[in-house]
Amino acid sequence: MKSHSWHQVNSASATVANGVNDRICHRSRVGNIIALVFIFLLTQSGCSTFKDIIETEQVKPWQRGTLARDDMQLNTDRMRQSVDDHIYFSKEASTGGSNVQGGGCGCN
Amino acid sequence: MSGTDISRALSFAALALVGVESTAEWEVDSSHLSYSESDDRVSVSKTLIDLTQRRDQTTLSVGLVNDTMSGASPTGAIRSSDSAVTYTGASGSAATESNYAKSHFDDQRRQVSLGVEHRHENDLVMNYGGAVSRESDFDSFGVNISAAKTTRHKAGTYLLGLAYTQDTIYRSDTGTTPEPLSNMQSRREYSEGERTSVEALLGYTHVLNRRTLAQMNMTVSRSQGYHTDPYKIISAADANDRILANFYEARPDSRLRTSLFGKLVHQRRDSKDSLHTSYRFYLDDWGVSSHTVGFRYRHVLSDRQYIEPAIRLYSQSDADFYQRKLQVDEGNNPVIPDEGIASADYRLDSLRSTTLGINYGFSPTPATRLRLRAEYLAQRFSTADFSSMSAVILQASFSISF
Repeated sequence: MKSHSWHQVNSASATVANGVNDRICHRSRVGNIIALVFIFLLTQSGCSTFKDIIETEQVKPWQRGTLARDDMQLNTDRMRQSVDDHIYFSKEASTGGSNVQGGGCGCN
Repeated sequence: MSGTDISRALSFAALALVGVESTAEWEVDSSHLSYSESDDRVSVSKTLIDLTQRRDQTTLSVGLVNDTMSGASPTGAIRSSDSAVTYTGASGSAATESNYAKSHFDDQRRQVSLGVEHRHENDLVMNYGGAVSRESDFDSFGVNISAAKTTRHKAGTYLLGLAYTQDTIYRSDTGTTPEPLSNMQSRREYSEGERTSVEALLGYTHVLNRRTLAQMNMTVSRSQGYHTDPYKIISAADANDRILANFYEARPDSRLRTSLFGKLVHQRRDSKDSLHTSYRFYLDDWGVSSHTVGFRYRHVLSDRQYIEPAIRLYSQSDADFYQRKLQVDEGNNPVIPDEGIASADYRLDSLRSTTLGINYGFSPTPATRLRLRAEYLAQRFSTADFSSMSAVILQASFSISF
């Protein structure tokens, strides 16, 4: 039976959402603080790291030793990436971004 | 896909790998995952094995995955103990609506994947892949192809990728799907659901300097067919959360997804430590938009060991058709949305995820690598009755080259 507009649903749920959002805001602040700590630790070396990142140069073949290291690859662990793709596909509504691969699971 | 088909795929892959040249290199990589949610919710045990053979210009790989999943998952029904309806529970005893807030499951998934990489003379690398998987309520088949072309002077690499997936979805107990937005008490069964997806990726990786690499990807994906979860429920309840009836959910029959992804890898000048950071913006036509930030700092302990703290932050908006429950009118009749689409699946709610973890790597010999990972995932939901979820992720991987 369809008796009312779709919009009535959204206004009724807003009151419930407001009370919950306070908890979410507090806990998300914790996540933001942790992120800021990471950024602070990262910048312990000062501005030099940031300058090193944005500095551009034409890299000669004999200067590519660092870029060839395993820990300098865009994907350093395929097993971890594969597991992460599955976990977050199952637990969140977003997918993809870093690669394309056919196939999936019934977890979402 | 039957067990016989999987065996045939494995045999074909093994034959392809057996025809080796004396200069071929092999790598076997194996991994085991333990994923465990709090409050006796979902538990997953996953085993992955990759067998890779590298020749002069070609790399072949075969992958096997075995998942064992069990536990209880929120159905979308609200957790009210005040119900006007009584059902017979699974054990044969009478059960109230509140018992439908979670559904118990026990499932196993198996996947086989094949991959071929061919490196051409003109700095062009082609990748071809395919995967098939089967579980008790979901079959999937997918293929992908990608081309990576490195520019002159090797300053950058362009990437174009395409993937096609075909899925079949059905309830494990009946092999069917319920009529969308039908009352659970008088449900009508439909045949299994079919869905096809096409995804395209366009990317560019640039060498900024001898210690820094940056990547930018843009992806578009279009899926058509059955997107509903055949187990998910949405309750019709009044303002006091008294449940009048439970309905099966219904989702749109198409989805258009887009994302913009960026990644930066940098090794510090004064050490061998490296930073890995990424960001993704996602948007789809269901109204979901999200931001994902990832950051890992690899601290090299020695030539053979590293430790790597990691953090991932994620936030998403809710889907347009997501709602905690169906409203009822003055006559206690459920209000069905005009579009015939509604879902109370908590994963379509506005939510935030935070993952904190630590990775450890050790190479006992130059040809072997051990990787250990421990992470804690915490989620908070805006309106869903199950307002939070936490999980512990443990993964151990070992590879050997010969």
